[in-house]
This record gives sequence, C-alpha cells and structure tokens, in this order.
Amino acid sequence: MIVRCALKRDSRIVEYDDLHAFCRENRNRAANAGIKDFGAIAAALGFDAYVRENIEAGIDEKVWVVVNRNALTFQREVLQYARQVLS
Amino acid sequence: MAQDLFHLLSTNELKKEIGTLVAKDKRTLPENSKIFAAIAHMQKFDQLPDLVGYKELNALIAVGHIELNRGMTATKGVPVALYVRELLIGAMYPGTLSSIGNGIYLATTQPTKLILPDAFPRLSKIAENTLRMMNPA
Repeated sequence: MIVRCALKRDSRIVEYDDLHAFCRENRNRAANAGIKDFGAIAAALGFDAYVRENIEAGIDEKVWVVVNRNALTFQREVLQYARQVLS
Repeated sequence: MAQDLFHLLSTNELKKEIGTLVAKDKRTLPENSKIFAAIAHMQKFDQLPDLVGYKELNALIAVGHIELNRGMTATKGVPVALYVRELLIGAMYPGTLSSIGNGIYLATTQPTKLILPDAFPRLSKIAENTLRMMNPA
C-alpha cells in the first residue's frame, strides 16, 4: 500500500552529507551523550528531515527520512480504509 | 519549535535526560531506537501529524509542500492496515531497522517512465504495450 503525504514547506531539512560532516566534527559530543544514530542526531539538532540522493545506482531517487512526524500532512482517505479493514 | 539540543543542554544534561526517557520506555526495541524515541519526545516530534483530504493535500503540494510516499506492506500476522493506522494516529514507533538512521522513510514521486526503463525493463515493455492498447487513435 502506498501512503501519500506531504512534508511541510517550512520544514528544516538537511542533506545527508552535511549531517555526516556534522557527525564527524562532533562525534565526541554526540557519543558522550549516547547518541550514535543519524536520525537521532538530526532530531537533536532540531531538523525535521534529512534527505539522501543517489542512494541506488542507476535510479535518480531521493530517500527522505523524516524524524518529525508532526512535519508531515497525510492523506486522510488511507486512514478510513485502514479503519474499515480493521473493524 | 524544535531546538538544537547540543547547544541548549550540556552533554551531561542531555545524556541524563535521554537516559531517564530510555529507562521509562518498556518497549522491546534496540537501544538506538529508544534513544531516537527519547529525543523525538524531547523535541515534540512524536506528536500526531495533520490529516487532510485528497484535494487539500494537492493544494498544499501546489503551494510548495513536498509530496512524499511511503510504501507499506504486511508482515507475518500483522495486516498493513494496522501499520497504516499506527503511522497516522498511533504512538510514534521508531523502528528497528534503519539503513541511514532512524526515522520515517519516504520516497519522492517520479514519473513512471523515469523509473521503469532501467529498473524494470520487462515492466517497461508491458507499460508500452498497455499504453498502445489504451490509445483510441
């Protein structure tokens, strides 16, 4: 099933490579706080999402990782369908 | 508004705050997932998303919101509808598998012709034939 949504236009978004660079520069600080995961670091920095391009060879596809669920707006109809199936 | 916790709190304060929330989290999750959930809670990132109808979502996308899609499938004994319901109105589940970090993985929308020729050559051929049959000319 495909769930359609939209990331709010005022969301704070960071490129994966920039996030990676931050992790390299601040690895001791993050590690001392017990944070190792990229998603956790992005959330701790206050970003809503991060995006990575060219994740798979031959496909011009971006992968978005949203760490703030509240930054998303979902299409309601899919929830109505889910409720019908589960009732 | 979310803040930069690395600047807002000292390393020890941040570690203590995360540790307190992780200790309260009784779910069977990897440590990294619980840490992500703790930070999401501190930033209020685990709140419910907005829900709108098809036309309203189209209108939002038209004014600059970024259209994204999430492919979901059932797993052993768990129907996909349950995952969908939890994603939209349930507790935020940080997940256990993450290739580039914890979070909600989403993909952009692309015209089918950009994807099919390289990734699925056989499907591309079927699509070509299907289009030909559907063309009234």
